[in-house]
Amino acid sequence: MVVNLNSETQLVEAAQNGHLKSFGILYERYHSPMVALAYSMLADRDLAEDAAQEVFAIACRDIESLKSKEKFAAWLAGICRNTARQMLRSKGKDITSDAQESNKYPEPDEHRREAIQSAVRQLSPAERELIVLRYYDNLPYERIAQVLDISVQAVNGRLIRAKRKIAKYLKHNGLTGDDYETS
Amino acid sequence: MKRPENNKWLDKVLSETIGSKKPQADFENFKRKHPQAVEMLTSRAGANSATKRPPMIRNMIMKSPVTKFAAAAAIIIAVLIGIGHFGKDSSSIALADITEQFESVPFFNLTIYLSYDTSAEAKKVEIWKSDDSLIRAHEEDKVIFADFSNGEMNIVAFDKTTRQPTNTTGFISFILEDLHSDGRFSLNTIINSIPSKDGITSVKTADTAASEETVIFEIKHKETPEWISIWALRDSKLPVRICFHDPRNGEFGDFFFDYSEQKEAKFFDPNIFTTQ
Repeated sequence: MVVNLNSETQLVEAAQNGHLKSFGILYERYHSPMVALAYSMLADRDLAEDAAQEVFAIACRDIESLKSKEKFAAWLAGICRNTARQMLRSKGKDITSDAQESNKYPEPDEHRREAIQSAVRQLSPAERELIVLRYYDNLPYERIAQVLDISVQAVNGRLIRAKRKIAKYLKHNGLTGDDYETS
Repeated sequence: MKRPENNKWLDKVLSETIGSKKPQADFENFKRKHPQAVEMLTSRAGANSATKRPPMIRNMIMKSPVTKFAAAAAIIIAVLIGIGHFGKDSSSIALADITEQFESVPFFNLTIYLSYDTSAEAKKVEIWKSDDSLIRAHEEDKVIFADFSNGEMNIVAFDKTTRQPTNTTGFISFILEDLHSDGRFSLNTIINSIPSKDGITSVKTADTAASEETVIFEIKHKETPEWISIWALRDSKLPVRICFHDPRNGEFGDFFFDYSEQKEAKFFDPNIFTTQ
């Protein structure tokens, strides 16, 4: 994996020294991953956008406290998880029920869509994060690795395992790739 | 059933179900919505400078993936100006001649391909300059218009598809802000923003026998393996390509200059763009 960590740590350091433009670059870089991460917990796109805004407001205020500058993405992800949890608590949200109620998704097929949503919901929170980060905005493995603070190889391995679980769940519910290709 | 890691159907259905239109990262909007948080961050600039010198902001920004190539461009031009007089080939064309000639062209189109690491897909950015100092630039899903004609820079950005206003942040805005520091579209403004030109030592004028029409300058950084190559036309003394590469992480920037087509005035008019 080749990640320009040096640049990022310098951007973080600049932001810690009050350089707004540097923070803006970090905002652009991590806004989409934070929305996806929040969405993996909130299952609501509007709420996820709000959560991401709140994450960066907190980061803006607290970035000076970040010691490991090379862990900025992981630090941001931690704020995001806390923010999403607080939103869930304050709104009394239930991910499962909310996702079932939501009908905003593009619809390849209603039955399949519901089955896939169910399959994603039955994953562990960590697996769900990974799947949503990957498929919400086609985030590259390198960026996922930064956000989750794991290696690219780990991202790959965990994605395969999570997808196996989803495929197994779908098969159990009568959905396979053959169904999709013929639909 | 196919293995999930070996087929595309699961990727496709997951993208269709979970996938979303890319969330809009609008930092200008963020700043408007969170003025207190922004104030807290920016207030540190003065406080920290009192006790310790802020990091070389210029360097930091330049080294970010977004702006690395603005830095590359800047280094390139710094070389052109700073040590250009060393770089004479057998026909006595100096790098400084090329810089000077470039600044005299009324209009141009600059296409930039850049990538900040080997794993990243190259990004394409296009910039057009009109003969009355208007700029139009395309970067990903944005169309950016800048006006340098009255000595001040006015910059606006629109979504390429919806033609609605959007934020101006991105690679191009950094370049344009550098240019604006001198109130005109001059590469000298970039040159002068380089904190140190001492890091680049030798200019090896390439053997240009390979081409009768082209002169090539090659520059290596003194302390790093970064290198820059500059191709220019002998007759016109205009740069046609500048390539930057950092072998340490695969960063590269490839700048292609075109002087053949002058765009019509309406091409640079944001009002026409939004009403089309």
